[in-house]
Amino acid sequence: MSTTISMAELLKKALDKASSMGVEVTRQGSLILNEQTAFRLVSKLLEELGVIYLSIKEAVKEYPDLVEKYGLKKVKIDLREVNNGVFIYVPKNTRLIDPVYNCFVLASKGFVQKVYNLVIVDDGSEVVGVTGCLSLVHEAIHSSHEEAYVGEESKYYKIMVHNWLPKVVVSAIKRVTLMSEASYYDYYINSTSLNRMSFITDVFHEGGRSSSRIDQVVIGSEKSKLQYITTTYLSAPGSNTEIISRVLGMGESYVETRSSVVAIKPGVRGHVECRGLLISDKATIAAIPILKSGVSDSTLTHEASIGKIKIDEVEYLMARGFSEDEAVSLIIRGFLETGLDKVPEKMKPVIRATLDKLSGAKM
Amino acid sequence: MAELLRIEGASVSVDNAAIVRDASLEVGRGEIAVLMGPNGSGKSTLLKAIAGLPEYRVVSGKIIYCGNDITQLEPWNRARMGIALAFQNPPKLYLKVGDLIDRLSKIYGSTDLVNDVVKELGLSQLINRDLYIGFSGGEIKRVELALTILMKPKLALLDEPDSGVDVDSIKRIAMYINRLAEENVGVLIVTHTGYILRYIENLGRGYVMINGRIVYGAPSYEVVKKIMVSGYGEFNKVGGVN
Ligand SMILES: Nc1ncnc2c1ncn2[C@@H]1O[C@H](COP(=O)(O)OP(=O)(O)O)[C@@H](O)[C@H]1O
Ligand SMILES: [Mg+2]
Repeated sequence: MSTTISMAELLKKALDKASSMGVEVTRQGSLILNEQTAFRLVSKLLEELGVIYLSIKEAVKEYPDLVEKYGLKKVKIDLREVNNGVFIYVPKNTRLIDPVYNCFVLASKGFVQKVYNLVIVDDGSEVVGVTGCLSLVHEAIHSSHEEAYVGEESKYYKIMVHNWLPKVVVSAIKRVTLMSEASYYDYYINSTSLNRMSFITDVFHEGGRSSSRIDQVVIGSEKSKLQYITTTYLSAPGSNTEIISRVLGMGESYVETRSSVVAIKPGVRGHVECRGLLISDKATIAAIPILKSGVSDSTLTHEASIGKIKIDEVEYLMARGFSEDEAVSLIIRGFLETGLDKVPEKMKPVIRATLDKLSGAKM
Repeated sequence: MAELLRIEGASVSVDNAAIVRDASLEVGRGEIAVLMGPNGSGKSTLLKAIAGLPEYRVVSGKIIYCGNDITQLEPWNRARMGIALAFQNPPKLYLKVGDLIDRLSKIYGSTDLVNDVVKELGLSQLINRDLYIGFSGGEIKRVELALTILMKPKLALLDEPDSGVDVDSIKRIAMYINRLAEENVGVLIVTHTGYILRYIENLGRGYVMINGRIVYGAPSYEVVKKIMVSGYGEFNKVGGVN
C-alpha cells in the first residue's frame, strides 16, 4: 500500500502563514532555510504524514537512531562543525508528489557555510528534492555535503539550481547509495558565474538492477573555474547508469567535467556523454569521459565532443525565419536542454525559465 | 502565369569561389518548375542564394521576388516574405522537432495545419527527437517538407525532395507538392534523378544546370525526356545557353 501525499496544499498553507508572519518567501515558493519559523511550519505539517523534515542539528537531537543508521556512511565530517543542513526522512511506501524544497542562502559577507544534508528515502517511496543555492553577498564560501540513501524500489529525484555570485567559492560533495531496484535521477544546472567550484558526485549502486541518471548543465562564464567530478560505481548486477554533461564555455571560464563509470559486477550498463559548446575563444572546456571495468560482461560506452556553433546551423535557422541572434539562442537553448523530459512536471517550468534566460543572454 | 520569382544573370560565390555563373530562371505563381543537373553542378548553391544565406553571395545579377529586388535582403526577411527552402542536407541540431514546429507554426500562423501535416507525413514518432540526429534520409525529407509547408510559403524551394525516400513517401510528398501548386504557391524542385516528377500533376518550366550554368530551358517534360534518353552528356556539349 502506498500513500500519495500532495504537498502543494501543505506548502501553500505554510507559506501563507509564513508570509503573514513576515517571513521572506522566495518566488518559486522555496523556503529560506535560515528562516526557522517557516521551516518549522512545513516540518510540522509533513510530520503528521510520517515524513521528517528538520534541520540537521535538530535531527541529531530528535532522531539520533536514524542519523546513526543512515548518516555519515559515505561522508566523513564532524557534525559539530556543520552550521546548516536539512534532514529528510520519507517513510516506507510514501510518494511525495510535490517537491521538497530547501534553499541555502549565503547572506553575510565572508561567511563560511558548512552544510550537511541527509536524505533517506525508505523502501518503496518517492521524493523530489529541490535545492536552490544562491548568494546575496559577493564574498563567501559554501561547503556542502549531501548524503542520500535510496531504499529498495524507491525513487529519488534531485534537482539542483546553483545561483552564485562571481566571488563565491563553492565546494560540494554528494554521495548517493542505491539499494535494489532503486532509481536516482539528478538534474543540475549552474546558471551564474562564480569564482571557483568543485563538485563531486558519487553514486553507489549497491542493490541489483538499480539505475541512475545524472544530467549536468553547466555555464562557464566570466572567470569561473568549475570542476565536476562524477563517478557511478556499478557494484551490483544488472544496474545501469548514464552521466550526461553539457557545458557552455563563455568569457574566460574553465570548465572541466570528469565523468566516470566503474563496472564492478557483471551485467551492468553505463554511458557517459560529455559535450561542450565554446562561445568564447578565451574559454576552455575539458570534457573527460572515463570508463573502468574489470568485468567482461558489462557494456560501457561514451561520447565526447567540443565544438563551436557552426555557420550552417545558424544559416539553416535563418532560412526558417529566425534572426541571427534568435538562431544562436535557439542553438544554445537546444544544446543545453538535456534531461528535461526526466525532470518532474512540477519543476519543468522553473528549469525551462532558467534555460530560456541563459540562452537569451548568451554573452 | 503571374510572375513570382525571376533570377536575372545571377552569379553566386562561396568563399570567393564562383560556383553559379550568370544564371537566369523564372518561377510563376502556382507553377511547379524543375531544376535538374548532375551532382556538384550548383543547384543547391542557387537555391541557398535565393533563400539569402550569407555564405552564398550573389556577386552579380539580381533576384526579383514579387516584383521586388531582394538580392540584398536578409534570409529571415525573405523567409517571412514567403520564401521557404527545404534543404537537401540540413544540419543536425539539438532542437526538438516538435519545438521547431511549434515555433514556426506560431510565427507563420499555421497552427491549424500542424496535426494534418504531422499525420500525413508520418512525423509523430519524430516529434520528440532532436532535429535530424540519427534520422534516415527519408525522415529528413519528410520533416523538411513539413517545416516548409508550415512556413506557409509563396515560393517553396525543394532541394532533392525525393532522394533516399521510399516509394510510398515519395507519393505522399508529391501529393503535398501538387497541393501547394493548387494553392497558388510557386514551387522550384531540384532533382538530379527526376524520380519524383512522375507523380507531379502539372509540370511547369524546366532548367538544366551544368557546371554552374543554366544550359537549357524548356517545358519540364521535354527536359525530363531528354535526360531520360541521353543523360546529362548531351548538355555538356551544348556548353551554355546564357
Ligand atoms: N559551403 C560550400 N563551401 C565550399 N564549396 C561549396 C559549398 N557549397 C557548395 N560548394 C561547391 O559548389 C559546387 C556545387 O555544389 P552544389 O550546389 O551543392 O551542387 P548540386 O546541388 O548541384 O549537387 C560543388 O563543387 C561544391 O563542392
Ligand atoms: Mg545539391
